[in-house]
Amino acid sequence: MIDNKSGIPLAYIKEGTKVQIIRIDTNELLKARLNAMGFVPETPLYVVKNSTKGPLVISIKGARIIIAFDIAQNIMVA
Amino acid sequence: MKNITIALAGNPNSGKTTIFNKLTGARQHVGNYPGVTVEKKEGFIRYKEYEIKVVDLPGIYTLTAYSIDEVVARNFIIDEKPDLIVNIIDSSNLERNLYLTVQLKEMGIPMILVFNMSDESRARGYRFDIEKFSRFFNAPIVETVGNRGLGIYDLLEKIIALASQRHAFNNTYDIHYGTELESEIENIRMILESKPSLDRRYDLRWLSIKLLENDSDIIKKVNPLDIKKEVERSIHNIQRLTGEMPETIIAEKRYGFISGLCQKAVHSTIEIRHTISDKIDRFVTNRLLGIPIFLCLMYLVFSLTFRFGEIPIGLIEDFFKFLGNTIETRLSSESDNMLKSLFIDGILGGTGNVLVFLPNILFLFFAISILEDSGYMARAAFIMDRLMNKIGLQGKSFIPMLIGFGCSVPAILATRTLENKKDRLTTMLVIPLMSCGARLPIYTLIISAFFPKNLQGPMLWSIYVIGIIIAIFIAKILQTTIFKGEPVPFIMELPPYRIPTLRTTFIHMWHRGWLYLKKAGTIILGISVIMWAISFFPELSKEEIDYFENKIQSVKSSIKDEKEQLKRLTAIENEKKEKKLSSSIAGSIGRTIEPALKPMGFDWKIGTALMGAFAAKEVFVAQLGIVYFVGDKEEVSDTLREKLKEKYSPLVGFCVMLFCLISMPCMSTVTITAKESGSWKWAVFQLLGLTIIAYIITTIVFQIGNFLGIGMN
Repeated sequence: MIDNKSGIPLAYIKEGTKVQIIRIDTNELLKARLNAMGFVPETPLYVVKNSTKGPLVISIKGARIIIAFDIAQNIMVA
Repeated sequence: MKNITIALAGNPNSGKTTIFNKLTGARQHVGNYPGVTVEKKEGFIRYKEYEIKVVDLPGIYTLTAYSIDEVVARNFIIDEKPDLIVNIIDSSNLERNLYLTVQLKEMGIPMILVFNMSDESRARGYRFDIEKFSRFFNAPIVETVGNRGLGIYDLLEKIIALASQRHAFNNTYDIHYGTELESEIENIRMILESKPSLDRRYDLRWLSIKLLENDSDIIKKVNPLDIKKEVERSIHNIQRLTGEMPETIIAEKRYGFISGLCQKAVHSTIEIRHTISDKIDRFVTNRLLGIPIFLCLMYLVFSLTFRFGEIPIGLIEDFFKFLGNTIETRLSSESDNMLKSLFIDGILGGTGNVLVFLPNILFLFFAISILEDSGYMARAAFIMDRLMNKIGLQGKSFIPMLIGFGCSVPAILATRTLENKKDRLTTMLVIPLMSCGARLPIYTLIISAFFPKNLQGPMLWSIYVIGIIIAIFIAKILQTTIFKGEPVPFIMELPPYRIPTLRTTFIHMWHRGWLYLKKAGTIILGISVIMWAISFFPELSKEEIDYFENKIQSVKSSIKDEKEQLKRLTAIENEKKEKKLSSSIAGSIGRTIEPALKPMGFDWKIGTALMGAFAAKEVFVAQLGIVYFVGDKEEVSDTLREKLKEKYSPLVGFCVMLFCLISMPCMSTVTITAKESGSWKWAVFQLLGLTIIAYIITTIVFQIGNFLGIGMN
């Protein structure tokens, strides 16, 4: 697998959409934390709530997780 | 009697604490892990011929060194070597919970898996092939419903069964991390094995994996082994061959393993529909309704706390008055005067200050526990987050600040929910600016003395608002200077709503309240005695005592009218008190610092009252009463008001309120800040910082007002 993945930042996905994680572009610590919460490449998730610039509510692996907008900007999905 | 130690490990919100409470009941103890502010919870249970020590580890999602909770949990397992680990899993959320399980398994300690919340998972249509799970993890499995106590005995049976199996534990299934990773794991493992100085407590495979994961805590620990180069080479290799960092692959493989396992061992009989939680959240986190709903709930919490708290507080006050009177009558001779005063004013007064908070605190904690246990707090943080970000704080900071309007002490205790130390400290430091309930008597006294009826309401309101504005400023400044750092990445789980159990809520409330009592109580008592001492000593000289005694005698003999006599005697008593106060250490200090107080328009009498206020705000009004010969607290009202109005101008009155608003975190607050922040440095910073700011602002206000002739008599 070589680095040529595209993908849209999770932050811009509309409510109610199902997507899959392609890659996570945050710093190490945050990535470990996200991993632990289930955000791992090829994981499906869906966006429960996403209003302008506010934190998002994501449904992933059966749980609801809130993440800040700027974190969602660094999670690439498709 | 056989002794064993078990550790409870699991995600936050997995029901771990409920099970801990069910197991240990009242036989539990909360403290701190040495050197850190992470809570250490231990308890005991006797079952059959076993005395079991249960350690409730902090709730964690993973065993990487992301946060101090994870490091503490991990170190406990490695250093203290519990006989077995009980992994509590929210079975309605299985995949995410198993992420921790696979890591725990890699540590190589005997483990029991508890599939908790099995009622909820059943309701969602999950059916588990327990046999398969048990085989894959090589661990016995118990299904429980923690909050109803179902499955607890089954768990205890499995615990003692596993404990009595003393044979070597072997890892049958290891997760295979892919060819590239596995070969590097093996490389590192062999290097580690060749190092004689390596601490043999660690499982080598586990260590190798952690090193490839770039675990900062483990890297520090193996530093002396000087294998940094090899590890880096391995990581680089993996990156080159796979295009990804080892930790990403490791996470992927773990979840891959879990997914695969779940596909074989979990059956879903019904479609997962919108749960009730989602429906409730439509309203609760709604952009328009969210904040009003939140404010209503907060208002409810306050009413509950302060209205219901009144009755027990009244009882406690009466009790202390009764005690005071009893001692008063028991020790009536002059020679016991000091002892009497020490007991009544020093010790009873001091303890009274501590206990008088207790009912309010307990009720507040009860309300908070309910909000937390039901899952609402997570929503509250989510709703307030955007607003708080503008000040540079998190949504979670809002709740402690709101509590601060009632009392700073529980407010500071409430900052525990903030994981980020910097945010937590900032919040703690500005909480005293939310005018607490104890300042109200001061405001009421001054406002009613100096301002006409139509201005009184707005005046009070403006004082509160000024406090909030200054808090916002200071928070912003702190966040951009000393506490400058990356804003906390906001990630949080939204647990489904749950009906909290009364028993658990009570236990939460009680254990927080008890902590407050124990630590704050002892220190406050100590300081109360000191404050008493500086107001009591030096005693009046023999001449002075005789002088007053003579005066009393002459009044008693010359004035026959009872009412008049009482009035005169009271006046003499007060004169005596004032003389005593003036010549006491406290009074001397007051007069010494008077020059410093003058720029604010204060005199030594206000100074002495302010010092008393450090112990507790209520003391300010009482001291002022004494200083102006105005009898007992109950009669203070009109006469004191008149006296104040004569002596000072409205401008000074306003300045006194301003000063009290900004400075004067009471000693309970300072003590709690020291405890919660982990160091007296912050408490002192808070005290000095606020006092200095108060001094500067008050001086400026007074000088300008004076110059412009505003609010003068």
